[in-house]
Amino acid sequence: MAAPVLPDGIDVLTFDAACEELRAVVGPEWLIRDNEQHLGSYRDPYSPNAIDANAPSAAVAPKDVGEVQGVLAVARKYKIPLWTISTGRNFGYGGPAPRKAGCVVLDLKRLNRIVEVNEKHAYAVVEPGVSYHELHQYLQQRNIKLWADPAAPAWGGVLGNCADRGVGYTPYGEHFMVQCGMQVVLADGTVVETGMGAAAAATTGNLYKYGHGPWVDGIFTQSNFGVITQMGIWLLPEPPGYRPYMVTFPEEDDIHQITELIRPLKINMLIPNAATTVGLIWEAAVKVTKAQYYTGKGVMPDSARKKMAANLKVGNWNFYGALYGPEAIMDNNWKVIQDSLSQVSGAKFYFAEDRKGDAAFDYRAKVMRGTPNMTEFGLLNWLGAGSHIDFSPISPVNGDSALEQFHFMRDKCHEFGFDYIGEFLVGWRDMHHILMLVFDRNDEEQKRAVKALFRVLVEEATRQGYGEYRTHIEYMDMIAGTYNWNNRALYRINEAIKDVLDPDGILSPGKSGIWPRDARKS
Amino acid sequence: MSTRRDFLFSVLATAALPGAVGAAGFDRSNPVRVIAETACADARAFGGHFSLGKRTPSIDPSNFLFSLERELASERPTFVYGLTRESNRFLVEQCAGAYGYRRVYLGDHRYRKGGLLHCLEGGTTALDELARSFGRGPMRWTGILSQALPLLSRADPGTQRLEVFAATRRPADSSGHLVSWLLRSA
Repeated sequence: MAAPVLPDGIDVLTFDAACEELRAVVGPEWLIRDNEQHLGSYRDPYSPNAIDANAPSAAVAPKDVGEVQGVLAVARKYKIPLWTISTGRNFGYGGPAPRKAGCVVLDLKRLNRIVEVNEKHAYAVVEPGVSYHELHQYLQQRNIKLWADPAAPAWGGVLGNCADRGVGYTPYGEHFMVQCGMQVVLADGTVVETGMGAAAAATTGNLYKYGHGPWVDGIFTQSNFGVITQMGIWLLPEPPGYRPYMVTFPEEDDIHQITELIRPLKINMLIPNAATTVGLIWEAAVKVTKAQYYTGKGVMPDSARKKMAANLKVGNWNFYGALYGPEAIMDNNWKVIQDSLSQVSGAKFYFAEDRKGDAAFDYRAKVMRGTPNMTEFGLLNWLGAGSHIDFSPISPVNGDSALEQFHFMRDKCHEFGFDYIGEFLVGWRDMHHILMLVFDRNDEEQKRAVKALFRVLVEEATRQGYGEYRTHIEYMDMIAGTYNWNNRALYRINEAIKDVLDPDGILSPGKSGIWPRDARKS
Repeated sequence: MSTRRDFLFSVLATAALPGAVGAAGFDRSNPVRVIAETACADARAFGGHFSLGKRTPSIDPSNFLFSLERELASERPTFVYGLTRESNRFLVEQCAGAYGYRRVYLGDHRYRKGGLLHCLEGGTTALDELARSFGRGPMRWTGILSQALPLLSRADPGTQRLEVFAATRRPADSSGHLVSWLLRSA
């Protein structure tokens, strides 16, 4: 029998004692230990490493703030590191698995209340265990005409995705921009309400973000400074009209002109939502597999790509956006958008009635109107036993940068034997360039190659001046290392805050490359 | 809220079976939920053996998935057995894992030139028998799988991985790759 996984520096007897006390806090069934049956679900199924590389020692699931405080007290007493998750479905970035093996997963799935939906002021307050699907169902069942902006997968957590600075596809796609008010439990058990919520008789905690004095909400995102137990999130009033559209472009290098044309449309809000320019294989893989067009080894050749694009009536780039509002406004905006994008030779325009039964269009049409779904997982059938990790550098919305990023990422992918599967998600002033590195998890050679490729991509992107906005647990230190201007001034602030707020280093050690003092020394 | 109708008309077809499926000798006290993809002929044939019938395929598996999750939580079937695309196996297994289900068998079925390569992982005795059946013909592989549940669900002290290639024709609407799998409740 394999030796039990333990936190660093903790012996079995001490861990036994800590687990006994955790059981007393949450009840015996909510402390899981030495039980592959259940702890197995806290691994990263997409890991390019061995599945046990990030194995937790246990998982504990409190049901409310009082129990969270109780868990933190035990962790402080025994110096047990916790790894906080909400729904734990952040696959591609590590899922529920801790950065470091041996952590106890602090699973917040039982804090699953939709605390409030305010129809008049268009916001919701949720706990960490609430998924996009659940919030959407709640709104639908009560005929509340508000949309919650979902990330691509419906089972993602509303709070967790925002805390990880995830993005969606409606006009409220920049999730942290529409966050308003948090409740956070600090490592010492103190409960903090942020912003206006800190006022004793607060009535505007979810209406005005900032309150008085320094605004601290941001330091609890992508971090390990506290446990967020509630969050306010603004919801989008359902517009009187909605018209999703798709524009296909034939050539790979069209990305330059597309991006130049989209920038003014986006900045002037003629395109109000977080629109996307989707690469050929990302678009196609929702519907077909690689083997249907190419059964050889390595990268799909151009001839097969062309055949696939023609069969599916898609382009090398496929732009998705949506019109929102009264018909007259949508008609006017469409004229401007169509006139602009028609400048790209070979551009073709489609609405929903032109793409009936098209899984990719259906998926985009849903997410751009706030309907969570699970279609995107179909992408992983591209290779059969597909897994993925994502490389996500930020790009300016300009043609030169888009083309430069696309060329080097495509070329590096091909050099390492992978297809380029990417999209540009156009935000307020930036683009998130998401490269999905899909690999066969049963193929050790591919796993080695994807890890080597990831390192090369980080190095090259850093050299060109592009940083990642979010990353897989495996690469958090590496990405943190690229934010190194002025002798790591930013990370020295992060570490100073960590040492003050969590001197025992019990909260999510290594999250975003922020380690407790003792771990930094070692 | 998704309804029972949404559930049945989603991308995957399912059936709740009281135990006696496929072959004799299966413990009738073990309820099973069977899941079959509707998007290709092989999986439809597998589903047909369980009287799942042909469902209107939809695109988004979320209605199916969240209904299944509720049923796993409330009804606790002993086994969940399926033939699906890999992405849907992943979704089901992640959902079921949270309720203590663990995979005890996985078959990877990939069309190659001239036939189908089965890569199997599971109990030693069960896989030996299953591999023999795949190699023997003439029964179609989906039929063999549909009758293999009693075998695969039996406790088996050893585990193994093995491959078997069987000559067969690829259906016109095949994705080229499917997975069969069995999850057991803790």
